[in-house]
Amino acid sequence: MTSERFAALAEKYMDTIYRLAYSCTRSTADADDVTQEVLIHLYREEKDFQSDEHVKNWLMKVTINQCRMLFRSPWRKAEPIDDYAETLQMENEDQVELFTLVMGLEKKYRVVIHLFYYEGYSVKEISELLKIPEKTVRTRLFRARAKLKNILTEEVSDND
Amino acid sequence: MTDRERIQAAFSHLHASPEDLTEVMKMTRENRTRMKLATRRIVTTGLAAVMLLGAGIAGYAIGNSFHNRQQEQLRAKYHVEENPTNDFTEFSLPEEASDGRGMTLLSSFHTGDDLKVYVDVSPVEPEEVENCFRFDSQLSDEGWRFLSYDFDIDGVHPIYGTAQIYSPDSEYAVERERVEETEEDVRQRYLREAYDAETKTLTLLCHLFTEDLPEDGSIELHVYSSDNFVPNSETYECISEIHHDFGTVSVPITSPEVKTLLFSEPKALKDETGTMQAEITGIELSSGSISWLANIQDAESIFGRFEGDDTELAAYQQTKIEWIYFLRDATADAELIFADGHTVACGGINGEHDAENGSVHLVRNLPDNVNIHDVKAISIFGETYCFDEADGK
Repeated sequence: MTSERFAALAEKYMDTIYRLAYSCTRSTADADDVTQEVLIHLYREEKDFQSDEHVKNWLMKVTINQCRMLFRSPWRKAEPIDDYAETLQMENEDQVELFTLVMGLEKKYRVVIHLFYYEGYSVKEISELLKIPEKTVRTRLFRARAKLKNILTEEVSDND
Repeated sequence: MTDRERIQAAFSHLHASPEDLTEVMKMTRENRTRMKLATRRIVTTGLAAVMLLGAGIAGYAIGNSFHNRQQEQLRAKYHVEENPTNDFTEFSLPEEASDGRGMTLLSSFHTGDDLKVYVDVSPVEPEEVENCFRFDSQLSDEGWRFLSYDFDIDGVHPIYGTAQIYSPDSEYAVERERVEETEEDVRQRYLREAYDAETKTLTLLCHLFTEDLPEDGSIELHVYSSDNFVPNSETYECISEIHHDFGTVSVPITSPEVKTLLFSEPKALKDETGTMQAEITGIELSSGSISWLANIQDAESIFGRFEGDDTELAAYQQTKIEWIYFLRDATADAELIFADGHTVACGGINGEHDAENGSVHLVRNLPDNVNIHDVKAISIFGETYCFDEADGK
């Protein structure tokens, strides 16, 4: 990949990678590590990406894989979500509460919440990204919504 | 504002550090990799090497007849013919007679709450199995000495759990009070059902909890027998040594089939005095279990991991038991309604997961697995709810 193409893609997607990595790892240090590692993969990738959407999907898959590798490490250190939320300069208390509650969920729930609600992926697309059956994605969305019952109110339809 | 817009607004404040890109550009120029991640890979490789050592045991030849017999029993136990489910997996046996020492993966069943993995291990001497049921003879003035079959997963020591000796009728530790059999009867039954003297093979059940399993892929299951010695029954400190290592097998993880029901209005439950209050927000049904999703104030202090000292333990246990009895009784009348009209009782609870964010999963393991595709509705709290809709009718 040329340096120019890489720089343009990195600028465009590094926040996307970081947000997914943080949702997975709940650690700013690990999210930085993953972001850097994914960008290195991108730089070295010789695949002929057909579209920006193709690049994004590829980056999401690599990010998820990098996060999985991190979770095999025995020395991961958790960081307080509240402390990080305070540094994010959110607009109101509702946003802080929503962020804190979502990030307080188990990894498998917060990742599907992130992919579904933030990135706007469908259940089928999340199933392909995470390599898990669609029914598992639905179950996780269901459980996450049950845990966030007072926060999230809309149904997830079969067409999502 | 939609849920999606609210989450997007909150998460849009997260930004990667500009230094991430600077660092990457520097590394790509210098053509170096990240030292921190490289070190992590070395550790992973190290663990794999240990696991391979555990699996590399040679021995004598046995056939598959005992494995076949056990697989057949498991198919019958889970009614696989009349009640097919994707949650039951039967693994292929080695085509050729393998070395007898080590472990053979037979079958697994995902109840929704846990994964039951059945394996054959060999060689196990008959007296070892017999001693597992001779409780009294293991006690002496010096203490209590016993053998157990333990397992861990993914190369992480210490033990994850103790495997149970398989019996088609009972999957719990021998509870002598529950059966009208003498201790000798029980011992003989387990030897008959779980042990093959000719090949010195023993069938074990390893119980893995869903919440501990990876999202997908597989786990490495490592099984071994342990010599245990408890010198002082008051402190119950146990000194264990590996007696025999049966090696490691890779167990694929499949997510269970689940039917769900989310109540449009949580069902409020209250005890007579009003001191215990809970809201049931939804139900999950899988072929081997039903889970009630409950919101409870201070759920973590009731159903979370106990972190107090010994003086607080009794009060914690008492509170938890009172809650379990309350919730068990409140859900006791539940019945699954099948397409052909027959019903199966599914009320009560017999386990729970650790609470999180004020929410707890209360689990009832079903006595026989059900075909969830045939289940149309559930009768609970005096109403009937279809699994495809959340309102009573």
